[in-house]
Amino acid sequence: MRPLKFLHIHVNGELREVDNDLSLPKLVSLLNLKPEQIAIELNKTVVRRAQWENIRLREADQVEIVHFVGGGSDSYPQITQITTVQLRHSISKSN
Amino acid sequence: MSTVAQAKSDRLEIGGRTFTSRLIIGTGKYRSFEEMKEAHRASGAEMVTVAVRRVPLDRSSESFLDHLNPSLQILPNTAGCYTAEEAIRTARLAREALDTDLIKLEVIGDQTTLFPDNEQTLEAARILAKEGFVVLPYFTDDLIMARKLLDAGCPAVMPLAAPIGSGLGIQNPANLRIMREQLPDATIIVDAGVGTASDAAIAMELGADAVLMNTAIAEARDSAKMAEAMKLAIEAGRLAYLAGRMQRRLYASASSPLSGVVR
Repeated sequence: MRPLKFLHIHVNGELREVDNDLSLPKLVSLLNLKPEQIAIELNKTVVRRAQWENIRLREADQVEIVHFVGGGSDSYPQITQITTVQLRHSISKSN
Repeated sequence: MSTVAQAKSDRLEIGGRTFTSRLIIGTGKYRSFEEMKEAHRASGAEMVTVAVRRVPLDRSSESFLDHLNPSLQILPNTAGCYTAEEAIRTARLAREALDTDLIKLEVIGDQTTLFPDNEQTLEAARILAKEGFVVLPYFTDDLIMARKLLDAGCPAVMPLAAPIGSGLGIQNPANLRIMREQLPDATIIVDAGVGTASDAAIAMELGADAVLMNTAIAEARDSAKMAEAMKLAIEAGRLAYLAGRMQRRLYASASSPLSGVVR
C-alpha cells in the first residue's frame, strides 16, 4: 500500500492535516509551542519528553497537549472537551 | 519554651516536604499577574496550586509558570475533572510537565455545587498513590472517607468547609472537629469555603493543619491585603489551637477576686 502523504490527527480535539511521519518535536514547533512546561498525551497515554523524538504520528492519532494555567479549587472546561468552532477553524486553516 | 517559639518550630509536613507556612493558595481569578504576585508575596505561602489545561492552538500563549516566584512549591491540581479517568490522565500529564509527584486530586461530581465525587476520588487516589504520586485529595467532610483516603496512601486529606468559591466560611465545624479528634495523626487541610480571615482562623482553631484557599484572596478588593490578613489569621488560629482554648460555660465567671470588694 502506498503510504499516505498527509495524516489526519486530532490535536486538543481539533482536526489537523499534517505531514506523514511527523515527529512530536516537529508538531510542537509547527504549533509554535514552547516545549518547556508542556506535556503530551498520545492516544490517552503520556509520552515522556525523552521519547518525543522517537514518536512518529499515525493516521487518526489523538494528541493532547497541556500546560498550566491559574487555578485554585475550581472548575474550568474539562480536558476532553471539544469545541466545534475551533474544529471548523482548524480544518479551513490546514488547506 | 514560649508558645511563639513553639510555633516557630511547628512545621507542616506533606509527603516528605516541610513548610513553615500553613497557608496554601491558588493562582486563579486574579485581575492581573502583578496582583497575583503581590498577593502571593503578602500571604507568605510556600505552596501554590495550578490547573492543567489544553494549550490554545493558533495563538501564542504566555507561560503561566513564569509568573510564579521560582521558590514556590507548585501543586498541580485536577480541577475540572469529573471522572477518575480524567483526573488520572491529568495527574500523569502534570507530573510529566512539572517533574513533581505532588497532585491535588479533585474529581467534581456536580456543576452547581462543585461537590466532590467521593467514590471517583477514592478510586483515582488508590491508582495514583500506587503510581507513586503524593495525592492530596479534595473530598466531602466525611470521617469514613478520610480514613479510606489515608488507607489508600494519601499523606494528607483535604475536606471542604463549604462549596468551592462560595466564601460561606466554615459550615461544618462539628465534622471537622470529629475528623481531627478521630484522626489525631492525619494531616488535615481545609480546602474551599473560606471567605475572610476569621474563617481561616476558625479552621485552624478546629485543628486543621493547613488551609487552602483561592477566591477569598483573589476576589478581595485588595487581594494583597487580604492575603496578609489570611497569613495572620492562619498563624493566630494555629497558636490558639496549640494553646488550647478555655472551656465554654453558660454563665459568667468573674475574673477579679470576689473578696475585698469595697462596700
